[in-house]
Amino acid sequence: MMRIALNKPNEPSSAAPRLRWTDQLGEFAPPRRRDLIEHELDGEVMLCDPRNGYTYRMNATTLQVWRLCDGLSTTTQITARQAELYDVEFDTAQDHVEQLVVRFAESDILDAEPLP
Amino acid sequence: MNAVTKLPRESEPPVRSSFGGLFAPSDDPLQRESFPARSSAGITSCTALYQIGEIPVLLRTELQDVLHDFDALYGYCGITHADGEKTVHMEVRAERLGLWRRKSYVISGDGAQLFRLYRRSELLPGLEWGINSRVIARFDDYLQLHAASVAYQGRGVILAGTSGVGKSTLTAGLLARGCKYFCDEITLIEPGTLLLRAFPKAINLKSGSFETVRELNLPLARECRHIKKHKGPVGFLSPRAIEPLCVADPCPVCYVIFPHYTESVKPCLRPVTRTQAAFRLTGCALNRAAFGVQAPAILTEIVRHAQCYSLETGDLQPSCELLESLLRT
Repeated sequence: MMRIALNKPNEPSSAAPRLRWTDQLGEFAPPRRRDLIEHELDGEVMLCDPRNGYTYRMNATTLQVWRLCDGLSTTTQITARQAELYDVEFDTAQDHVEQLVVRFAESDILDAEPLP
Repeated sequence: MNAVTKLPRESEPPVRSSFGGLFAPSDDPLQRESFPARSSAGITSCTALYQIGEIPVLLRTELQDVLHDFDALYGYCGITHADGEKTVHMEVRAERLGLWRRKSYVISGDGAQLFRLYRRSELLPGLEWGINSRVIARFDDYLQLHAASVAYQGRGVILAGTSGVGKSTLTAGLLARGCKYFCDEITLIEPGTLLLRAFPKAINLKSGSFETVRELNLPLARECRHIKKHKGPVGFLSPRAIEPLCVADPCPVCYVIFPHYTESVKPCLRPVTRTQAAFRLTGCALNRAAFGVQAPAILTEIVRHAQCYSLETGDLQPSCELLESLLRT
């Protein structure tokens, strides 16, 4: 997932608090931010963050995970669906999904609550 | 609007400079003083007005060689009247701060000092870049991309990428093959219509392309005489020297190409996804801050109706042949 910065300083974010990553990542139901602007083209998406002007590109695979980040599906459930869809081992899918969720959070595109 | 040479009416006698350009009469409201004016040092300063596509530029300088070089590239689009608010005001003057200090040259844009240079060979490239910087800063009527653009039979082609990928050399090659010209450095997109608009600057070529351009029999103006800091010797090619009617009319974007030069490779076109293209174009947007989230939206719409490719370029002729075969389909 690539990112380009807007040509102006970032405003201090008063958005959702940062995630604290623990072993309970699998129980976390990542909620995507609803204020991001999506431009879909040919099964991929360009996301624009109006808060800081950053732009992200998601290919089809990343987009599937992103769409499942609805605040209701846990990371484990998302992993199970991806493993079934792509016919891969659960552990393989888990690495991929967890890395994506961490990237989403680090990019501040999730409405995330701190983990206990 | 294409670059236009506007002649004064019969009742207005033109004032001719020593190098043949035409200037407005002294009562022209755009001009603040009659000219040629004399500074307190007794040096004559001259003012010349040009319409470079969408951008009016007023150049004021006492340095005859700078005026001559600039007029050699843009004399064909000299005008007598322009929209005062839109006009980019450029000034080039010599300074010596104190008896024992080195002589320097100051390039100012719209009243603000942009560069201080110490070699005359840097003045024309500095002036060109000064104009670019003022256009980027002021002309938010257009979404501006760091890209070259041409038109083939009314279909726009964007050649986007960072410095050194071969945009300008490819542009020169395509113009020699009959394409029409928008710009080789700043592509203007009209947000409401998504049409390309012309800003037909002189094509700025680095020394590595001189031989290639000579092989096309294209006349580089005073090559090797100009130095651009960090880029070394540069040459300027007036697009009008290639074809008098070379400036393109506004047209939609039909192709987005990302060139990348590698010496002696066989040219190759590879499709890129439209999202990749929109994302890369967003990275090329020069005045993106002025457009905010509208910039990606505009570029998404641009690529939605365009074919998008990466182009690995080697030698110029086969690369242009490959592009031409794409444009003909």
